[in-house]
Amino acid sequence: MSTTRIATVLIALYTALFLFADFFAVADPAAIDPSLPYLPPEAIRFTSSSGRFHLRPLLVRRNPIAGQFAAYSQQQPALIPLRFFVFTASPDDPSTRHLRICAISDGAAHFLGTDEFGRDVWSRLVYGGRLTLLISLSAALAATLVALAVGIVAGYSGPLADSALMRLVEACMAVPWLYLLLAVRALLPLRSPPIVAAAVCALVMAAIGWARPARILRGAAHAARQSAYVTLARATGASPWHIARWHLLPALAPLALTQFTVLVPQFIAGEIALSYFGLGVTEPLVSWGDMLAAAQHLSAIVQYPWLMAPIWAMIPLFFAIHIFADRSSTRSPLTLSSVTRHWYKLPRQKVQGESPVRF
Amino acid sequence: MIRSFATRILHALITLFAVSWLCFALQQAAPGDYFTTLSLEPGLSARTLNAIREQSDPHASLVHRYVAWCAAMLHGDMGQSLAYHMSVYALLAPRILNTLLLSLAGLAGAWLAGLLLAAIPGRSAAVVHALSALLWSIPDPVLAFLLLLAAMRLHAMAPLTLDASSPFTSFAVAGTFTRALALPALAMTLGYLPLVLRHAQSGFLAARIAPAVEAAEVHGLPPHTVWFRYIFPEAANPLISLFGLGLGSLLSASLFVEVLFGWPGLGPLLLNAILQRDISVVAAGVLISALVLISGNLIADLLLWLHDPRLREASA
Amino acid sequence: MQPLLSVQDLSLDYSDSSQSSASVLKNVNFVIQKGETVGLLGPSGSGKTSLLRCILGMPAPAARIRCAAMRFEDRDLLALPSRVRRTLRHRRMGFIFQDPVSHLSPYRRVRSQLRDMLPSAASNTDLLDALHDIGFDQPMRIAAAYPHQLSGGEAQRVAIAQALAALPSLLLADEPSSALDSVTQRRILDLLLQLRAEQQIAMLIVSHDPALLSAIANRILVLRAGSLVDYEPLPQRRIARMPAPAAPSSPLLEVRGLNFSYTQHRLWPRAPRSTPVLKGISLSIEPGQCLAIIGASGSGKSTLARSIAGLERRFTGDILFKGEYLGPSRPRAVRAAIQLILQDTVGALNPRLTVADILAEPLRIHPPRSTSPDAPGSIDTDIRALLNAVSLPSAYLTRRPAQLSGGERQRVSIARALILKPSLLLLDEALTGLDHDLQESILALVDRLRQERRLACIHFTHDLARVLRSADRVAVLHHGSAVESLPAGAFLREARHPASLQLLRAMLPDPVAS
Repeated sequence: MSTTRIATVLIALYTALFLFADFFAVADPAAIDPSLPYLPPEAIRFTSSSGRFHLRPLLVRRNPIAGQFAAYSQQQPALIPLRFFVFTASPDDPSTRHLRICAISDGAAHFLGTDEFGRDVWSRLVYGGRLTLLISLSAALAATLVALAVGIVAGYSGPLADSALMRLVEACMAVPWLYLLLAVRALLPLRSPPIVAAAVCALVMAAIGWARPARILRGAAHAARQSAYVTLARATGASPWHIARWHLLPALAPLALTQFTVLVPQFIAGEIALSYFGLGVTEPLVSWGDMLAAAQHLSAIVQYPWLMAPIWAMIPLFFAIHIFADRSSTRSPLTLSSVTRHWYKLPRQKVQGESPVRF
Repeated sequence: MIRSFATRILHALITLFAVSWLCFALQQAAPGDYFTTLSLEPGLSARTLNAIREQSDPHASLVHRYVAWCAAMLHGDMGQSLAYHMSVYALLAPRILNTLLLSLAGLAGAWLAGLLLAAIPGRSAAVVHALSALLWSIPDPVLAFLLLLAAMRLHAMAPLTLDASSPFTSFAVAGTFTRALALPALAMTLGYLPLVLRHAQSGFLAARIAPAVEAAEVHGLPPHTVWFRYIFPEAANPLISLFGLGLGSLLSASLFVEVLFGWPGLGPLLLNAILQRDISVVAAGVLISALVLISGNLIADLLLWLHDPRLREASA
Repeated sequence: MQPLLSVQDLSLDYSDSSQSSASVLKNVNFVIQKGETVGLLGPSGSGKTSLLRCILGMPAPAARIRCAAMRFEDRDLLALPSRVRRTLRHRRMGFIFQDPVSHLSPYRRVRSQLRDMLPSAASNTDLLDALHDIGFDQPMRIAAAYPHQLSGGEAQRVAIAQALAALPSLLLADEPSSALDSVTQRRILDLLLQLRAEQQIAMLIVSHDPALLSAIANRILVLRAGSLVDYEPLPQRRIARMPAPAAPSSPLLEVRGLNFSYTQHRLWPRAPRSTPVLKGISLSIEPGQCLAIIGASGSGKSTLARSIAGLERRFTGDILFKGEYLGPSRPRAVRAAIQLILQDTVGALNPRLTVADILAEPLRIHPPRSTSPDAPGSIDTDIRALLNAVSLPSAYLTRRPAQLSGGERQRVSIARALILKPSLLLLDEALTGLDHDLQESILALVDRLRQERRLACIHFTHDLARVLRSADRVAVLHHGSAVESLPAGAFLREARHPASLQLLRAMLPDPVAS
């Protein structure tokens, strides 16, 4: 299908971008350039000022107007030739050098402009996306694994454990998760090393997000357990381990995958919410939420619309993830309607003419 | 027959108990001894200070304090806000009303539009599907954000800035109120629409091939009869549950929209309270939201129970 | 005289997007006269349902129809707009589905669903009359009930009332009784016969069961692979009845005084509610023997099968296997020696595994003792030989259950049950719902194994006719008690208990070539 192909290409693009962030980013995300605050996105042209064709792309650099903040002259921009595949040194630590995709002689090209402190928006977008995705993927993985374990235990063990686990799940689901996320995070020490803050961010999201997938997986485990093929396996003398390995896991795996893909965009939104409200990733690390926090002043966004870059980067990513979630949910034998049935604890159609049998 | 529903209520009470412990723990776990900071606050009378101190007497047992806390909550005494120097109840009540108004408007819009769009047959359904996929791909906060920017561009509105720390002021003029409501309500509607749309579309799709609906068509019943007496009831169960979820999230779904549009609801207040560690406000807010969530689920259960005769007889 | 319905040269094929078209019906010609009952016989997949849907004017979306003429009550059906076809369905044709309960909406009372079908002027009395005419003694109770509160037979009668509500001239029935147990099946059949006599309605009855059709239809059309062929009664299957065991060998399985009750524990009210399911069942079976346990649905057959298979623990009484008492935890060897086959062909096979994996599963649970280096190879040969025994090609090993037909799935289930070389096979309605030919071939396979391996088997079924010829002994189960137990040969003559007589009456005569 064409939409799946588009989604695959998109995911591949984002993956490459984030995996090789050091290469694709043109500058250090934390590097400040006080001389160029709120620089608009810079264009590239192939003609020199005299109108002659120029094979090497030229960066159009506008000159700051002296004495004014974030004002750039429209006249006579400097045309700086771009250089490709350049080793640049990090400003903090000159010993580490990165191979960048391109650079200009005295710094970086700002294809997406700069922010308040003159930091390159494109580079922050790449590094920030990497961290945002890393946090949300690991949180989603942790939440799905917990949900899988809880689901199998609740779905396969006796009614007592099942009931207890499901009450716990309901309690977790009864709390408005965004508030809980913020409140729990706010209780933890605010000033912590950036790496720790990012890890805490992922942990808090996983601790809150496992409940709903656990409920769905438990329903599926329950249904698989009551199926005739499990009955036959038990009659033949199969051990619980055999049933989990050959019947429960294959039944739950596609569903767990779907839940994972559904959790990822939720957790991306969660990370953005946390960082937007200043509870997530902190300097010198950068994430999309962190970048959008700068956009809290709407007047700034209206004046400097390139600060919204994470939003535009997010939409294709979410589109691709949703396509994959859709695919994996339709490919599994559990259709959407049966998923919602487990989700909402709807009854299964009574089997006609059979006496109630429990085991 | 009554038993199955009584079990649901029991489950809801257990859940509420667990959540109340969570909120209580939240309040207890607030770091730092804030009595010291409290006593420095000039706005606090000695009496309120004593009341607070009594409530969280460190020498009393945890269970004792929990019971005292619950009793106070039941009496509407949710403690004092540190940041606003007023009772939490008086602070929250008007905010909750505002949030309810906004969420109800958004919910109603989404359900109306969602059900109508999902019932569109044939080729136009693909268009609707694409629309829902597009809306689905834009995270809710981003959607609200884009809407706000578009509105600002179109009408050259003065940027709305949020000042949550100022006391709540009610909108005096009804006209202004509705105008102010329209945009955030639209943002809520658009954010909620794809969820309704997807469930309604797949529900109708499954219902149309359900045996009972097929039988109604084979018997040659007129289309409107088939729709209203066979397809709708067939598709209703998951939609009712979704509706309950929507009702439940009336207080908690609108955080971003409220913050962005400067709507004087519960969201910005709670957010500010979280940031300022005004824990009694946070605990009360979370508890009330959870209460609404649980009641929403309970209402959905009740509606399901009324709708599906098989549920009425299934023993819990 | 102008026929009621005439169909000329009807062809139908399904064409999907991949340009491959499957031909379902080929040049079908037939007529139905007013008041005539026509039976349409054919195995599953022969295009019966597609034919009915063509007559109704509701073909599947991918179907392409070519038809010279299709006339109903002197009207050209092909020329009518879909709105008029709908009114015709509503007023002039009635339809009865195979599965009565799921074709009624579970959310509305019988009353309001029946009213949808009646003319708008119909009064409440008309509605109750319609229910009364169909043989309900308490039409008020039925009218106020929801479909799930009805038994299968009641629901099917409500469905017939719906179909007849508008006084149609043609009644179409798609397997009207094959989802019901044999006693209820017989009742529905009697009802249709009565309607034919009273109301002069023409009927087209579709079934895979020649016995049913020859009992009701004036004439039988046979649909085979999309074409109508001549009807020929089936030849009688000759089976050599097993010679009685020379020396009385020791019983393989003995059940003594088995009681089972289903108990519901609850917090409030405290007293546990206990429903007895099995009351003092005793039976014994010797190697190579075949026992049939017959009973209507709800008589406790399945529970008995599950207790013997070791799936239930809360029974009292003793089960002995080869003279040894079986406790709550059974020896693994016993679990391998007793194998169960269920009616549910869809659920019995894990849809995510291949046929090879499904057949190898019992061997994974009970790994073969031999540690010869070529053990995996021998497992593979075992599986292939077994697949051959149930006449499935070994290419099927890589298929998944969804790619098999119902009969093929049941054959895989049987192969799965046989792979551990069990000594006792429990068949819980394992033949119900299968085509007639397939039932015969499966019974033949089981008979062969009884002779070759001294395999004992117990059929748990409601269908007396199917098992009477192959079983040695027949026991009748009624409300959880064994009320009668007779040698199969003597059952027809000597059965006395009312429940046995009811089952006997429900048995349709086999349409045998005389």
